[in-house]
Amino acid sequence: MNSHAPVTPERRRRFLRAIGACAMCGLAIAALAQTPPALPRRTYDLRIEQRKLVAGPATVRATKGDIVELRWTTDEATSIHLHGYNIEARLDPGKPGLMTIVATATGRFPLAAHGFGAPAGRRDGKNAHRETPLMYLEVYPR
Amino acid sequence: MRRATTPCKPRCGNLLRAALLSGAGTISSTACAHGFGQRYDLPVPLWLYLTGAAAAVAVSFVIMAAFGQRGSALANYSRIDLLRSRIGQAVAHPWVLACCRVAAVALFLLVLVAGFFGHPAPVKNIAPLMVWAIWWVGMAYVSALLGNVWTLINPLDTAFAWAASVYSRVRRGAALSLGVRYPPALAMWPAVALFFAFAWAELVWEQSDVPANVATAMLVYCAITWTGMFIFGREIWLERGETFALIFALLARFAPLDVRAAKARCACNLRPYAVGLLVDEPVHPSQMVLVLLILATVTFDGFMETPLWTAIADGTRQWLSALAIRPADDDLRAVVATLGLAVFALSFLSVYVSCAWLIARCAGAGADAGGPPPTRYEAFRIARFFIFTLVPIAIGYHLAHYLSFLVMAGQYLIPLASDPLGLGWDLFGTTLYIVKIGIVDARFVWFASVTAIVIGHVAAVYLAHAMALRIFRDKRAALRSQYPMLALMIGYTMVSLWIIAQPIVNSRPG
Repeated sequence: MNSHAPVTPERRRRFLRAIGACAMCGLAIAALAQTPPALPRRTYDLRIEQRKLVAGPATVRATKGDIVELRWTTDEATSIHLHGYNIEARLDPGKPGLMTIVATATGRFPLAAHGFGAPAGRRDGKNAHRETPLMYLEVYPR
Repeated sequence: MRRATTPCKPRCGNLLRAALLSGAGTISSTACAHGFGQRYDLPVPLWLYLTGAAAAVAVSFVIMAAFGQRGSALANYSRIDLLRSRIGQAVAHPWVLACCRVAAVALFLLVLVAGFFGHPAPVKNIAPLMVWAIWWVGMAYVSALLGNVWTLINPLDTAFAWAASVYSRVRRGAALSLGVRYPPALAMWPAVALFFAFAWAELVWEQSDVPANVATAMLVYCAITWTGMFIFGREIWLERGETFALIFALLARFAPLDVRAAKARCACNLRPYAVGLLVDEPVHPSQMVLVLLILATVTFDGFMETPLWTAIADGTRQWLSALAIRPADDDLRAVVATLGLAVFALSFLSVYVSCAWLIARCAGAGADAGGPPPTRYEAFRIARFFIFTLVPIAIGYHLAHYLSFLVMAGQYLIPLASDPLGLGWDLFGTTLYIVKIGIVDARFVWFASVTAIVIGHVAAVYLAHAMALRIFRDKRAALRSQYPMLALMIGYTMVSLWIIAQPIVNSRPG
């Protein structure tokens, strides 16, 4: 264990220079690798029927930095809302809706539907707003 | 319906959701005007949960072993009088304190005015945010980590003291109080009842984030407090009936600053964390019940977001609606939640008292207890001695549970400060501030949460041992007595960790 030569200033300088060079190379490679923004894109198909999620994952898991695409179909007009990210989309029967999320913030975010049917539909205040989330988006740290 | 409540309001409620909704959008006005205070915490991953649990168990036994060797270092800790230094004197100068009190009263009035006359949507009004997030959650943080600030700035107390001093000036020294003798049997039961009402409002009452309701509740509480002060005297009521004074004082026993507001001046000593939770006398049964109620509430709050609770609540609801006359769905939800709260409180009480009984049994044939001979090793008396030692676990859990919530709610104060009443003002030019959801990373929250809970557990185990050495003079009896307590504490810590390892469910029956 003691067979190493003593550390002279010259050796130390050379060592540091080597480290520096390696770091620069690393940075260059990283920069090159980043030039095309190769963010992983995940797409899910989801379907709402009778005000419930009938197809697609109940929890979508992503990693911070991913792009998540949710492709929705529904049997009843509604607008869906992803809490936290605060993204809304209007859905109509027979017309697929797309929701694209750039997962920049970690957390578990509920996605709920607001007001099924015609806008002037239900009037009983509290229940009209009461909502069970259709699904959750979980964004995990990298 | 201008607003929409979501049943989970303050406890962690939907503030954030609200914040974000209204933040990005005055555009998406009504449909999205949500309740109040939402957390987006990710469940703590399994490996971290297991690590935290293992650490809690391991340190428990290390402490156990260390105590077997030597006694507690807490018996005579040193304290530093901060008011001796010049800086301390400047900070605690009566004028500074008076300014803080005036500011607190002004803020209190602002919240009242906002509640009654401001925007009716919880997210566009500063009242729900100030009461449920900044004051209730934030003051608990400050009390536990810093010291009892509430005793210095309590606006209800200040207002009554002002009224009393005016009265005594007008009436030549007469006191603003009927001076009725406080019935000793009443003890702190008024505070227990008031806290139960408060906990119910926090966890069950769906409309508690409506600004007008917040303000009304504040006025009702003012009326109760001032009536109590008027009948029995200000200081008596602060010690027995003002439930928040008692709660923040309890949490502040953990804090390093020992703040006492005596009549004319206050005292402020620096001391080690948690030593304030060691008592020389058994606490009154009413205070023990108050502490257990607080612990149960804090745990139930988190438990209400777990999938397990959703399953239990759904089952109970089905069972109830099959039985009875099918009450409205809203009522049913409230009934189930109230039942849950009551069951939690009662099971905390019974588990704790049984644990105390086991402690008495384990300490068993030891030497005499600290107290007078007839009461030696009586389970209930032991329960009253040890109750405060559970508080650090609750504090750890509270810090963990609300960490990200406070970060988000704190941000939400920025736009609301500019427009507290939701009338379209822009006092500081910050109305358009949009809350950043990514400001704390999930990984940071995970580690901070687990660390807080484990540290709380360590403090609790350490305190309980120190307490045992005080009560049971025989060291071996003290050590033996701690097996049940250790089991209880590990169980309590596991439950706390388990809750933060559960995905948050925002279930809305309906």
